This record gives sequence, C-alpha cells and structure tokens, in this order.
Amino acid sequence: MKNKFIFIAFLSFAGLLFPAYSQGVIIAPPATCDNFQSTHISGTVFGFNGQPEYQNGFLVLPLKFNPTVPERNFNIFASLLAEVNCAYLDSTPFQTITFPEGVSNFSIRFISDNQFGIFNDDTNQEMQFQGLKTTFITVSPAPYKFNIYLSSDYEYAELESKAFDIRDPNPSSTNNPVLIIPGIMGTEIYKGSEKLWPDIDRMLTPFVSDSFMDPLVYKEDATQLDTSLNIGQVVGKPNFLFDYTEELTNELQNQGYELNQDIFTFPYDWRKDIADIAGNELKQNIDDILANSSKKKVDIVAHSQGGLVIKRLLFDHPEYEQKIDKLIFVGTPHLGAAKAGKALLYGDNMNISFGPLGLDPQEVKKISQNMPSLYELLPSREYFNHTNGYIGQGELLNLDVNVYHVKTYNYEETEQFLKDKGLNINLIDQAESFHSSQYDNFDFTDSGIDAYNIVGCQDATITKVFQKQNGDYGLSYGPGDTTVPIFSASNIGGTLNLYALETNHGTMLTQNGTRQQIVNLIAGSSLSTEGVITPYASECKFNGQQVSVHSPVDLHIYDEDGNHTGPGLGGEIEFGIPGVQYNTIEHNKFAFLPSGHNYRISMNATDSGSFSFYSSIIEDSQIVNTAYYHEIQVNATSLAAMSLNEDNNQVISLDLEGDGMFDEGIDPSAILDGEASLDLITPITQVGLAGKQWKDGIYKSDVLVSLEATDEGSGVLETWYSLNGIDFEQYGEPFVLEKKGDYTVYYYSVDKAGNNEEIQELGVKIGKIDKKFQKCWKNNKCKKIIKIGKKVKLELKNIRKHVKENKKEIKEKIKETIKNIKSKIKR
Amino acid sequence: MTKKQKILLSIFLALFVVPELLWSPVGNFVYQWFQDSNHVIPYRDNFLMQSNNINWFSTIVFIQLLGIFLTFVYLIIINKNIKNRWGFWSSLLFTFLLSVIVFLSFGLSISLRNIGF
Repeated sequence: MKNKFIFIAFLSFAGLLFPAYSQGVIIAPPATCDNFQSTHISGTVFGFNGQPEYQNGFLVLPLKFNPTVPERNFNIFASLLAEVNCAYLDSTPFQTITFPEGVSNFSIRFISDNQFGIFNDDTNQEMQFQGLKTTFITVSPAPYKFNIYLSSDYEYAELESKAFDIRDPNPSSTNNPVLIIPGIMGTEIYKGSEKLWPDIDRMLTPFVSDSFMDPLVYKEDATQLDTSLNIGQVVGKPNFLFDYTEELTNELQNQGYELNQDIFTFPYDWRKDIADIAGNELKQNIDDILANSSKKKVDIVAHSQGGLVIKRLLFDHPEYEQKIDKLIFVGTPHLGAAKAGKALLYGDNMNISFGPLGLDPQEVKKISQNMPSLYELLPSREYFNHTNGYIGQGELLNLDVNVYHVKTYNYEETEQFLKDKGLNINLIDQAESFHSSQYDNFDFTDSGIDAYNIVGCQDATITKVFQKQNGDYGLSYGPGDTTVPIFSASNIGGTLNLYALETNHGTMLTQNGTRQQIVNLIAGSSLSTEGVITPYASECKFNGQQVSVHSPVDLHIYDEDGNHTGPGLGGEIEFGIPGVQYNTIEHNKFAFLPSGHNYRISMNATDSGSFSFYSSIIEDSQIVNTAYYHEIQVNATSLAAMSLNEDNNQVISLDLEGDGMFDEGIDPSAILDGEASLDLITPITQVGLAGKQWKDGIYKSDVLVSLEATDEGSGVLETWYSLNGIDFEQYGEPFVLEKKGDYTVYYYSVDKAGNNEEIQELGVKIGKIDKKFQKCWKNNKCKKIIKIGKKVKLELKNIRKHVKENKKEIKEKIKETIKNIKSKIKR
Repeated sequence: MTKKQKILLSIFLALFVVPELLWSPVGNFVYQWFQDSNHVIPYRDNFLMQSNNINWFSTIVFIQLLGIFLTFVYLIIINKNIKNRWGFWSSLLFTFLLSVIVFLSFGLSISLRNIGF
C-alpha cells in the first residue's frame, strides 16, 4: 500500500515536472551551415557576378558564364537543405535549359520559399526550361537553404560549397520600420528598480497596499510629484492572462520582421500632456528610427491614446506626413471616452480584481486626478454632437422611496460639473483647447499616408455615467470596444475603417482577428481575419439585454451552461460568461448580456430596503423595450430569481424570507416601447383644491384635494403624497382637509420609465369655518350651486366668444335696433 | 481499498494528471506567476499559454480542479480502507494543497480574463 501511495504522489509530481524533461529532449543546440561541405568539386564554367542579394525578401544569385565555355546546354539541379543543421532534404530533378548564344550574365531568382527561375540578365527575361510549361521550378518540401549545380558535357560545376538562405535573413531591407505606439498605461514606470506600473502580482498580493503606486501622482500644477521615476519598456506580456503587445510582435516576426531591427516600440510617460509627448519624444523617436534605417518612411501602429499622440504630431508638424507610409489606428478615442470620466470621478480597477484583492479603484482615481493625459481622453465638445452627453446628475425626489430624475448635462454643464466635483480646472480647460474642432475632425485624405482605423463595434461600452443626489449611480451601454464608443473611434476622415466584431479594448493589439488584420495591412500578408473584421459598419450588430439593479441586492448572471458573471465567493467579480460586461458603482450593478444565450438572473439581498430593476432589450444598438420593476421591498435574507425572455415580460420570483420557498411573483411595473424607454422627462402633477375661501385666500370650509399627473413619454406609473411630510402614501382618490389649521401637501409622480418628479409642495390654510357654507358643503347641496354656476359660466363664455367673432355685425345690429327704438319712441 | 475504490480514485486523479501531462496548465500558471518579467516565459509553451485561449485554459483547469477536489474528498470517504496511515495523511495533505493551487489558478483565470487598460 505504501508503494502505491508513493507511486500516486510520484505520478502527480511527474505531471508537473514531465514537461521540463520533454523540453530538454526537444530542444537541440542549433547547428549552423558553416560546416556544410559539398562532395562536389567546383568548376570553372560559371561564377558569381557580384554578391548574392535578396529581392522582395528572397534570394537572387547573379552569375556569369566563363567566356571560354563552348556549351550553352546545361542540366540544372538544386540541393535542398534543412534550416537547422543543413541536413540534406532533397534535390530537384535535372532540368535542361538552353542559353542563347552570347549570353554572359544570368541569375537564379527565388520568387517564393519553394519556387525559383533562371533569368537572362542580358535581356532581363525569364528562361524556359525544356519540357516544362512554367518558367520556374517548384521544389518540395520547401527548403530553407539552397545550393545549385550546373552540369554539361563540358564540365560538372558546383556554384560554391556553401548553402544560401532562401529567405532574406535580414528582411529589413524590404520592410519599412514598424513603430508600435501604446496607449495610456501601456508603458512600464519604475522608481529605481522598483516597478510601479504595472505590477499586477503586487496588486493582487494580500496585505500589500496599492499605495506603492503613489509616486505616480501628479501635482496640481500638472508636474510630477516624484521626478526620479523612469520609463521602462512598452508592456509586453506580464502574465499569460494579459498580452498587450507580445503576440503582435511575434506575428510580425513570422512575416519576416525583426525585433529592434524593423519592429520598434515607443515607450513613453503616458501621464504627460499628449501634445508634449508628440512634439518631443515621438518626434525624436521617429527621426532616430529613420536615421538608422535605409528606409525613408515608417509604418505606425497606434493603440488607444497612442492614436491621439501620433495624430497630434501630424496636426502640429504636418511635415511628418512625409515620414509615415502606413498608419493604423487601433481603438483610438478620437473624441474621448466616457470611461475616462468614470476613472476621474469614481476610479476604475481595470478589471484587475480577485476577491478583496486587486487594483483599488480609489488608487487609480488618486493617480489620475492631476494627470494631463487622462483629461485629454475626456469626451470632447465634438463627442456631444453624437450623443446627448455622457454624464448627468439625478435630482432627488423622495428620500423615502429613493427616486430620482436623471438629467444629462450638455458640454458646458459637464465641464462645470467636473469643476464642481473638484477636478483640476486648468487641466479641464487645457483638454478643451487640445480637442479643437480641427483636431477632432482631422482628415488624412490629402496627407499621402495610407491610414486605417480599426474600430471595435459591437461590444458593450460605457457611454453614460449618471450620479444621483444620494450618491447612487447609473450607467448606459452602447456599441464600441468595451472602452471607446464606436462613434468616437470612427470619427476620423480619410482612413479606411475596419470594424472588429469581437474586442476587448486593452488587448486589441494581440487579439485574434485584429492582430492578423494589423499584420496584413503592414506586411501585405493574408492571414485570416474571417468572422472578426469587416469593412461594413452595417455588419456590426449590437444586440443583447441590458440589466441593472439598484441597491440593496447583488446581481448574478448565469448562462445555459452554468457559467457565472457576478460577485464570486470572496466578493470578486467573476467574468465567467464571455462577452458579458459587468460594472458596479457602489451599490448599483449594471450588466450587458450579448444575445445568443439564455440567461438566468439571481439577486441576493444584502440589506433590507427596496430595489428597482431594469431590463432593456437592445437590437441594432437601439433599445426596443424596457421592463421596469419599481421599488421591490426586501429584507436582508431575501432572494429573487428570474429567467430573461425575448418578450422581456419575465416575472421576478421573490423569496422574501430566504427560506427557499418563493412567496410571490412580481410582474413588471411597466413595459415600455423603444421611445418610452428613452424617456427622461419627469411627469407633472397638478393639484386641485375645492372649498370656499375668504377674501384673503384662507379657506372657510373643508378642502377637497385632488391630484392629477400627466407624462409626455412613458405615462404615469403612480402618484404619491404626504401631509406635512409625514409618511408618503400612494394617491388613489381625492382626500379632504377638514380641520382648522395650516397644511402642507407634498406630492410627486413617477412615470413608467422610473423618472421621478421633484417633490412639489402646496400650503393650505383653513381658518374660521363658514358654518352656512359648511352645512351646504357637507350636505352636498353645494354641488347644485356649483353646477348652476358652471352652466352660467359656460353660457357667458359662449356669449363672449360669439360677440368677439361677430363684433361688427352685432354693433351694426345694435345701432339698427337703437335707431328703430328711437324712431318708435318719436312716433 | 476495493477494486471499485481504486478505479474511482484513478479516474479522479486522471482528471488532474492527464491535462497536466499534456499541457501543464497549472505548472505553467504557477511558474509564470512568479516571474517578474515584462515577457513571461512559460515552463512548457503550448496553445493554452496564449491569452487568446483563456477560455480553453479556464475549462481545462476547471476539469483539473474537479479531479483533484474529488480525489481529496474521496480519500476522506475511504480513509478507513487505507491501512497505511502515513500514506493517507500525506496524500490528503498533498491533494489539499494542490486543490488550493488549482483553485487559485482557476479563480484568477476567470477573474482576470477581461484585464485591460
């Protein structure tokens, strides 16, 4: 038995250790071809006519016949050798070729990895092989090294007892240098040897505060707090869950590019002013690359903020258009992104979160408060021409039932709001001048640059952030790349827009599809991007369901396979369902669920109170309907569950006591169509008072109070009132104030989209009661009086109207009548 | 142990061991996690080590987690049938520690899959 346990333990360890052994076996020391020796003897029939060279990346051997050689018919064959150790692989069959008399110069040219032809260099024409229909020889398998022989009756000759690389070992000679410009947070920052950004391991380490990043903070005057920081490399692949640039550089290398020879990255201090980065470091970097290259232009791949940097360089220094051949924007927020506003106001954890561990959003907020670049990523004035704003404030209507009206700010109001929130006023103003209209509408049409723009177009992206007066928040999603909305990323002229159907903004450079597209554009390769990239915006479908819940419950989402997105056991947010976006701002939870799955929602109460739930169906980027569940009362142990359906009329099953038994099913309070779903207009409530007043407005009888609400958008859901601010009650029918005293009636209405009217108030004073009227009032006899009065009023109104319309005729008739009367009197 | 118990234990253990022999997801994960590098190098490179294949990684590690956890639980269930107490306790401790490591690998891969700046 003991041996068996030892065996099992060994087997388990072997599972971990086996790869080390296997790797050791696989990798052999690379051999070179220096030791390769041919068994053939070199002859004198031909020789080199200059040095071997590479054209279009492939080998060209310029050769020359010995003039004394009488033969012009040759048999030709090639020896094909393995790359690693020059081992013999195969040789081509003998092919016969006849050179015209007088030819002295010829060359052997490879046109691909496994095809070569013979060129008559005197006439610059391809030679025809005897018995072959083609002018080139195909070899199989594809060789890596090559040696060639010519034989004739005169002499059997080998070119040289040395193998040649078929592919250019130094392909920079055919490629423009490629410069990768990363986005914000895409470059390492160190303090001495201590890495401050991005140290994901340290962010996730228990009992280590994220304050180790404090030196990244900028001062209020937008200068560095700690000037001893130094820049590291562009972030590559700090752990295998997150690959920022490494897979892209690998893919370029697969196409013959060499790292640091024709692939360069541009590390920069991403906290600085973008114009400063562009006009100094980037400008210098491009000049340095071109100074060390035989090429006159660079190709540029710019991710996110990197796109704004290169665009700024071209905006401020148009002469640099001559130095750029191809420019590829990837997920660039040309007009800014609402997420920058969220980070500045509320922080962001960049999804680096595992239970209580991870990046503290407050640390990000702290770092970013005076960071010029983040302000320049805020939505610009032009952004507001594409949407009605990205930030708003809820107006508190009723503390008891926690209801708000959300108002979206225009550009000026947004600026003021940000300033009022204590953000850096100078940097807000600087960002405004940075995003001039000319810069935001930059056009590449006449620039001479081949410009491309890769835009994420159907992943849920934050487009709006609302803050309510009690500190609660609201979010809206729209199509984009999870960070940059589509309208912001695509707002650039003179570029070929390519739409990415699957994106995660942070890893767009290395994701399947976008990565291959970038390489295809740069290297002219034809890697497959099928199903991910499309040139047609119409193929971008932003379909799904947006759900949100507002205190005090947790939101969990499960798909049909049991995958989960929502808070995990330790409170971390698990992203188990691909494509599902999940955001929280304090007690508010929001999720976007892409269509194509059956989702189940589970909500666990965390405290007693009430919560509202919204579920909106989104088709082709438009909300087509919204189910609204108004103020569901729960206690701390309650559970609620529902299965979402296409009709959006799902019932919430509520287990009030949390005993595993569902107590009631809750239907939507309202189901709104697409137009009503966008209703942000609050209802208006009018109050009617009926009673008899003294001349000073004080009532001398009971007062009948009636409330009538109207709503232009979704319609009125309910009206609430309170006498003197004590306990709000839902309004059903008119009520009577019958005692002497001062009353204040508070009232408001809620519409079916959850918009809440501001609480209105009306003072009513009942003084000394007029007993006579009171009697008639109480016996309901006054009704008759009122009825008669109303009739009289109506008659008078009609008469007045008639008189107004027929003034002249009536006047004449009156005159005539008076005349008649007068004449009658005379008679 | 009865023959049935041995077979079950082997199946549970195989759920962990076979993927580990094939691709070493947990070994790679642990190895990479402790590298302080801008370009981590996997202990044994394969398709699971590409960030584009994170869904595959999570799925396979979940199977491994299931295997090692079931091994742990099953060892407790059949502990009376195991006469070698030293072997039992050491195996129990080993599978427990391994369960924790595999759980962390799985949890981190699920939680950090949307990481991005």
